[in-house]
Amino acid sequence: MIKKKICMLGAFAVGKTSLVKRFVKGIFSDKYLSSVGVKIDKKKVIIEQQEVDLLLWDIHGEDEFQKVQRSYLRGSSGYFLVVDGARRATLNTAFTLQKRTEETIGKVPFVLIFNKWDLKDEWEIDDKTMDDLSKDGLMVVKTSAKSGQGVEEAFLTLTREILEA
Amino acid sequence: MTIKKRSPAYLLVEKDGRLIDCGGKLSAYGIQGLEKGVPIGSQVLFLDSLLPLDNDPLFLSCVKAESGLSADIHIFPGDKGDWILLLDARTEEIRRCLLQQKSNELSLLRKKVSKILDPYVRKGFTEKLLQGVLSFQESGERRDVSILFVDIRGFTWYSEENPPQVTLQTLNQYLSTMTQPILDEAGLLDRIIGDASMAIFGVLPTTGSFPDQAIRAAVKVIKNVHDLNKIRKLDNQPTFNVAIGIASGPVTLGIFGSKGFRTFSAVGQAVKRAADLERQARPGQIVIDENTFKKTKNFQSLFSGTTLRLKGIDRPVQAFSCEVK
Repeated sequence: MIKKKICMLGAFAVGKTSLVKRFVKGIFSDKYLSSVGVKIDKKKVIIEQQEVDLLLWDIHGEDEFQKVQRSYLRGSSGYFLVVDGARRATLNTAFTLQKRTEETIGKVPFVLIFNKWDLKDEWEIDDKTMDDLSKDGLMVVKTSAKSGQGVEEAFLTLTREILEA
Repeated sequence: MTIKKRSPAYLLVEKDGRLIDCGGKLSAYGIQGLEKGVPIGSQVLFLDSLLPLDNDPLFLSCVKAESGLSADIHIFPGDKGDWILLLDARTEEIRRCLLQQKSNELSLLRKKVSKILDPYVRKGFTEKLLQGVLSFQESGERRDVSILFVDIRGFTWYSEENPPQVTLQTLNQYLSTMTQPILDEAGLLDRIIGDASMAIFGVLPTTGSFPDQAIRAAVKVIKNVHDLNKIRKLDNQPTFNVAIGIASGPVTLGIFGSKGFRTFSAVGQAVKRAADLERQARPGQIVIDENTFKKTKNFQSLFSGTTLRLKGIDRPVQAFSCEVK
C-alpha cells in the first residue's frame, strides 16, 4: 500500500478543516472552530487502479500569533495552499507559506485551492487573478467545502501529481 | 504540570523503522496492540513520515490522530534508535483554543465590519477598526451617540427641472463639501439618501466630546456650503442652503439587513428626533435637541432656546437653534 502525507496549509478560517471533513467524512458545519496544532486524518483513494492511503495533516491556520511549525511539514509528499476567496489577504498568506514550505522540504507538488465558492458574491479575488496564476503554471482549483464542489477533484489532482512526481 | 500527570508514553524505534520497545500510557493516544520488530509506520501512521530522524531532535505540539488525546511529541536520537516521547497536551490545547478562537473570530468580524464601512469611512478610521481600536457587538449594542441629519433645501425641485447629469454633478459637489467636515470630526457617515445625509458621532474612536464634534461638523458644513455658493454665484450657477438637525441619546448600533445587503446603522429615538429637527430647521440653521444642548461643553452660547412641535408628540418640545453666517 502506498502512503502519502499531505499537509493543509493556509491562513486561519479559510476552510482547511472543512475541506478535510468534506473529503473524508462527507460532512460540513457552518460553525467556525479554530484548529489548534495538527489533526491527522486518513483517507484511501484509488488512482488508476492503485490504492493510496492519504494521511491528511490539517495544520492550524497561520495568524498573527502563531506561525506554522516547520516540524509539521517533515515527510510531506505534497500540500494544499488554501485561500478564502472572500479574503484577499489570505492569498498573500498562502504564498508566504509556500515559500516557507519549499525552504523546509524542497519542491513537492501543491495545489492552490480557492475555497468558499458558495460565497462567490463576496469574493475579493477575481477570475483574472486565478487565470493568471493558472497560466503561471500553478494548479488552481475552486472549491466549496459547503456544497462539496471541487473538493474531490482537488484531492485527486494533488494525489495524481504526487504519484507522477 | 509534572510529566507524570501528562500521561507519558514512549516508543523506541530502530533506524530501519522497526519498533524496539514501547511503554507508558500509549492507549490514551489511541495507540494499541503494537508489535515489536514490525515497522512503526504501519502501526502508528503519523510516525511514518517523521522517522528516521536525521540527527536533530524534533518537536511537534498538539498532534491529534484520528482517536485519542492531543499530544506533544518529542523525538530525539539515541544510541539504539529514535526515542519518541508523547505527553498529554490537552491543557495547552484548551488554552490555545480559547485564545485563538476569540482572536480569530474578532479578526473575521473586523474584516466584515471594515468591508461594510469602507465606502463611508475615511481610510484612517478603517485602519483603526482593523487594529481593534473600535469595537462593538455585531449582534447589536446600545450606546450614547449624537445623530446629525443634513438636507439640501430646494434640491428636489432643482433635480426635476434639470437633466440628470447636471443634477448629479451639482449634488456631488454639495455632498463632497458636506462630507469632509463630518469625517474630520470623527463622524461616521451612515447613509446618503439623495440630497440628505445622516451621520453618527460617538462610534469612531476619538478623544473629543461627540456632541461638540457633531455641532462643530454642522457649523463647518454650513460654512463650506456658503463658500461653495460664493463660487457658484460667480459662475452664475444656482445655489443651495442646507438645514441640520442634531439629537443625542442612546441608540442601538449594529449590522442590519439580510444576506447580500448588510450595513452598519443606528436605530432609536435620537435618530428619529434628529430627522424631525432637521425638517424643522430653516436653510442655514442648526437645530439641536435638549440632550445635545446639555452635553455640549463649548457651544451653548451659540444657541438660543425655542419650542417646536414635532411629529407624533403632543406637547411642544424644547430645542435650541443657531444661524450660521
